[in-house]
Amino acid sequence: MPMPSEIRPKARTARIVVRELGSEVLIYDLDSHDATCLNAAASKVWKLCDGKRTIGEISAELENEACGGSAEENVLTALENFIQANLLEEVPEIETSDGENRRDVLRGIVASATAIPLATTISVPAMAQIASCLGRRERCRRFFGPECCPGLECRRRRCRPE
Amino acid sequence: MPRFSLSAKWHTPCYEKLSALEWTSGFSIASHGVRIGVRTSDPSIVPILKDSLPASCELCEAEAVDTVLSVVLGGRDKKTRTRRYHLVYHNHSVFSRSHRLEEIIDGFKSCLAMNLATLARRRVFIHAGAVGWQGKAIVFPGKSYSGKSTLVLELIKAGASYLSDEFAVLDFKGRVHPYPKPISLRKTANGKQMDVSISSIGGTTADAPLTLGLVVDTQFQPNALWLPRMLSPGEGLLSLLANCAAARYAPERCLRAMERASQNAQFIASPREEAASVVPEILDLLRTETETDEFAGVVQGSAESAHSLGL
Repeated sequence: MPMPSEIRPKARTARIVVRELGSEVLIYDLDSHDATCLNAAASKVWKLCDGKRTIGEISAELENEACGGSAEENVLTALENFIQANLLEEVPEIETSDGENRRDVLRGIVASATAIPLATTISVPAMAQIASCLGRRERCRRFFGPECCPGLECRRRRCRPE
Repeated sequence: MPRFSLSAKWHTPCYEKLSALEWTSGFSIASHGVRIGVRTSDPSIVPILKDSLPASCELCEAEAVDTVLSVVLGGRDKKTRTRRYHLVYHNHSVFSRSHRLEEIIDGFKSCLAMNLATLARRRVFIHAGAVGWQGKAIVFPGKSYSGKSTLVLELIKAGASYLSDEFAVLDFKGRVHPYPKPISLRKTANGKQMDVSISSIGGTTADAPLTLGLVVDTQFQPNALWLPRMLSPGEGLLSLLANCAAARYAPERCLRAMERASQNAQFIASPREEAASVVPEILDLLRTETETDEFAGVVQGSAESAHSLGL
């Protein structure tokens, strides 16, 4: 089983839009249409995830800046958030002696870290989901146009009580 | 009757068949850099369609358009004794179908607003209520039923100028443009909307774009306490992005406009109860917003008073 220090997380660069907002970073995933806001701590980890540095090296670089908890805990928590938001490139699928791959190992390591949220992710809705809703018995379409108001659902082309 | 020229990707067999029908009248409109063609099978409905256009729409002579809305009037056919539907098509697909003319007009308005919001290249449309206060814009992003229109109505009664109860229209200079339309309030039991004109409540509509000053992420919750929490710029942008009409089609453009607008703005979030009870506090926040420390103090003070209540 590889040691955590062997794993070199790499931040995803393809099919995302990245905006830096002061110490924060906002990332829009063009495939899933999820938007993630990384706080200052997670942003630093994100910028160091270049596929060359190991987790240990990233932790060491952030050691002096760790506030609350150890630097390694912060890095692991940030990595957990990145995995959940699909912001890491695929870790090479190298089988360990136990049959686990590196991604599983990484997931196992970060799962044990303190779960302080360092990133906030939302799913960006389509226009039809945010437009003004339709009232009871108004005509609706399931995949286009305004949705039915809360408490109603689109059945047989009319907004009817759920 | 103009012959509209539409992008090749919309020239589907359905669109060609639809275009082959007899179209007796039509007109083109332009708004926020979007050109829309409207055609009808009956000239008698044209004045009604023109009356239902948003104030930002201007009639133009364009034949090359971004999208085409087609309105087909149905009604009773005396020869065959059949009753045909009124229909609104968005390019090649049916958007709205009804025997009632007023439902078709609502469908036309809704389709038009959605197209403007998603296709506008020079503006970014956020689904939000927006008012002007002391030369700055206050924006309340939120989905339907979050209480945007009610809050806008109460703010206008308190002296704010009206920008919109449906879209906060951002430009790339960080300003919010008016998108004036009657305020739509849900008063009826079936959730249907009732329009209230701004003049009938003694309000005024802002006639120029205003710099974004405050974004309030709030929605009505029964028995909720007003506990404003200051959001970071990133969290604030997320709340705008979650209500941005074109976010999925042009995320980079949306983020650029929102980032520019957020440079001079503060973001707060809190649930609220009755709109009237939070209006003075929201207006106070913008009053103190120029003094950032004082603003943070007001927000912090609200949080501390809640903490002292054991909340």
